Amino acid sequence: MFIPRLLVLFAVFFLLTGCLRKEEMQLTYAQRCLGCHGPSGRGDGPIAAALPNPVPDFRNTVKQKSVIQIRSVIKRGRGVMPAFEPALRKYEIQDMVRFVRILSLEGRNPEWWEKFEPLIWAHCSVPWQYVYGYGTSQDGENG
Amino acid sequence: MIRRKGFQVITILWVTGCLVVGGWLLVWAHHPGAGSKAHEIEQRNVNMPIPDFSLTDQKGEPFEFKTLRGKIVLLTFIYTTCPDVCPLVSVSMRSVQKDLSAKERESIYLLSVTTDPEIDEPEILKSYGERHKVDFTNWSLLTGNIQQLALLWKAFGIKVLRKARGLVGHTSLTALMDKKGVVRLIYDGTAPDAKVILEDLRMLLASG
Repeated sequence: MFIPRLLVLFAVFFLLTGCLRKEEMQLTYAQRCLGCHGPSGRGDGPIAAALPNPVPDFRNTVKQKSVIQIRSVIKRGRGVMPAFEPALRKYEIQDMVRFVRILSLEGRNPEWWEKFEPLIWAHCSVPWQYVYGYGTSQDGENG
Repeated sequence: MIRRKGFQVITILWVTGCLVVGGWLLVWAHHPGAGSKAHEIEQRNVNMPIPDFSLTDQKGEPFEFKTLRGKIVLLTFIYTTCPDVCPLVSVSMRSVQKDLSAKERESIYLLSVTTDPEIDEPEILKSYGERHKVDFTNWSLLTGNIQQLALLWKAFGIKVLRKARGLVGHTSLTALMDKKGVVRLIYDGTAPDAKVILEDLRMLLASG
């Protein structure tokens, strides 16, 4: 009896924290990233056209990169992209890693993460570069 | 006799007039808009003296504005985590710097002053400059304490509003200052046109 109750408690906790975190995550993306990367991460934000180089589409970049590489770009910046460390807290940077990962999955509604937040957390925390064998560099080459 | 003399005077005046007008047209054809550009600059001249200020540059070294006397200064306000206007301004500034000749670089200096001293410490400004491929020989990125910066923001009429950590709303302004440290031209708006700035810089440089 104890274990099912504990599971229900965990589920409620994840859903509640997920709902609150989702709004914060979307706000952070809207405030810091949307201007260049656009609402769906296609590189079509309102100021993208005025930048010297095209803004990459997450489906071509983020999707191919490991969590470590994505986090590194968000923290240290690249080209005209700002470096968000130390302006963003660690958890906010991790939120952005998750959010851009979701956006990079073509055709998938970002809303779905709300229901499977623990799964996304697990997905984002797995060192995929070792599983799939792509790029092991800490910095990565493309945003 | 008098009538003939009068005719000669009119002819001479007419020929002289033609020569003057022709000469002026010839000069104008070679330098179209040169006069109008100078006139335009004069019309846009804000003539606003700026008090001397002391800040810290991207190397962490003290920076005194008065050391730039005798140079034309292009100054702008940015912060490194700005997600919209500032990257465009910095791209414009870099474009201006890239197009300056070696000789022009000796007489022209670029300054980017932060509007977010909470985040923009010297090493952060340095890496921002490196990402934007800034040549630090005639471009400094400046920070300081809030009191020092507030004085400068006020002098330029810059309004700064902290919205969150690393997120600041501020007036977008780039200023062109003459060799005496007086603001001559102001470019407001999102991304000042590098070509327009370059033309103005060269005109100001030529005017001494």
